[in-house]
Amino acid sequence: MSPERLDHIQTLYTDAASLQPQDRRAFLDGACGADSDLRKEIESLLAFQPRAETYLDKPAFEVAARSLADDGAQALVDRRLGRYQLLSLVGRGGMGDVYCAVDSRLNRLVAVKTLPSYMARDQEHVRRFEQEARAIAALNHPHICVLHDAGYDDGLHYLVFEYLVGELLSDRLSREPQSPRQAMELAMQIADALVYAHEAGVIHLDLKPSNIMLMRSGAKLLDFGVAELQDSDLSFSDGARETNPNSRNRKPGTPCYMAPEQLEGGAIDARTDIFAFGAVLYEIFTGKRAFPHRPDTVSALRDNPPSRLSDLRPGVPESLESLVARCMALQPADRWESMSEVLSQCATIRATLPISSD
Amino acid sequence: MLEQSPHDITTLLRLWSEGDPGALDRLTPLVFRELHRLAVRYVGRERADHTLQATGLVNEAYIRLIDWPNVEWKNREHFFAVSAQVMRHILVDYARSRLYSKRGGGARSVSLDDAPNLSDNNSLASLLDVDRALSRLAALDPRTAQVIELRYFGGFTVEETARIMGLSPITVIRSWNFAKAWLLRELYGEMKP
Repeated sequence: MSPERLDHIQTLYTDAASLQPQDRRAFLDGACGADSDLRKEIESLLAFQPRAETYLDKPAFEVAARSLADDGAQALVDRRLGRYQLLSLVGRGGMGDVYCAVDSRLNRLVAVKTLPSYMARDQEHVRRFEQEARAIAALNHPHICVLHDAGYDDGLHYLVFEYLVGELLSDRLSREPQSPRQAMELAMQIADALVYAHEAGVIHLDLKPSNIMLMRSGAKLLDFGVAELQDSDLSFSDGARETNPNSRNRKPGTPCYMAPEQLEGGAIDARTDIFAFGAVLYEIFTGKRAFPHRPDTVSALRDNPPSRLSDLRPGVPESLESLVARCMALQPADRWESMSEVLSQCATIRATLPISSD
Repeated sequence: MLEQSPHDITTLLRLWSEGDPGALDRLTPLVFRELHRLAVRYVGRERADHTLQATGLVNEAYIRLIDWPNVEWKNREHFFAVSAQVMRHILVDYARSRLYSKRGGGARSVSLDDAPNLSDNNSLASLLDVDRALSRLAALDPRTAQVIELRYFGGFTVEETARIMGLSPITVIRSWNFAKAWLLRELYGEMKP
């Protein structure tokens, strides 16, 4: 095939692909004329166009690194970390692999979360890690998953949590919509946990539906403060950041729920959680993510504001709409000042919801 | 990590591009170390949200690998093109060794004769598929193939690829979209898309 012919094919493909599928036939009629080979060529390529859109969306290096990561994770099953015998890999939570394990001293099941081994590079990191783990372990609230222990063994930091059996909010939301009252009930439990933790000086930093476990007794927030333990400030000491003007001091978290200041590696405080809470509240009520396109820059956040709550869930009170909007203000100063403020707003709104809405 | 001088990598890349095949053997462990670092950071990242700053992490790996200010030989563009080729070699070798070797404890053995799996574009097998089909595309249309090589194997963005190849970003996007459809047809043409 001549280079000219290839060029022509590429041009026609590009033009046809940019049209609505129903308009392509007419376009090809005109563009290919009697050249049926050309037409067949373009049409056979167009058949793969929908799949091509997401094809190769991860670079090869990442594909390889992930496969390595998978192998590494499985390898820990049957190992022992401290007094914990790892039984099985049960999930990959926000910040680490989670294993079901047995605490050999107390003979009970626990959830052990491993953290990347690079964190253990020097004494200062280990000291800060333990200090922050202590702050999280001190949290005692009915809607926060308890951190029992934190340790370091064989090159790995790990956290030991109470073992919970329930359904993740993310799974629940994909299964069935919540009634407004259920939704608000849930939101208030989450808000209450955040109020408590913020007063204790701990910020969640990775609040999202897959970090909320629904149990018979209500919601439990998982991974409280674990993002902070994983703070890249804590984990890097080799100066790579300085050599790269483009790399920002990013905090770990999850793009769909991250506040602009967290995306940018700016100053973080309780209002960062308020943003994420707003995004979660939005999702609880609508079943849809507020920022489905996984924004990774602040301009992506700004350019793709969420659809109005009432468009997706007609009939929600206006006060809920503005509560959520103010939680998700791009500037921290424009948000609610504290979670207790948010909680009392939630309570006011709940009182207006009709009982029959269940 | 201090024992690794990025400058060595720059030198090794130059040697490789000048035809010293031994340079690749010495480059491989250095690339692997970065791969492991990245893997460690992925471990535990939640599946559903695993795009978490992935591009950032890959870029970071590159930055660590390459001593950017000292990249002066021939020209930077050529250097980046060579980097992508080297990455491709190393990652393809890695994928092959992974898929063919059987390891104890939760070993997977995957036969490359298995029917291509349409649902998983991000598996090692898919990486090998891309490599194979890309070689065929390169025989027909080297420029379009290089766009894929730079973006997929080199991990470069549209803008970077455009700069390296001296093309406009829009041309890169067009070639990229076209080539992906072409590769898919090449790999799965006999199957229903």
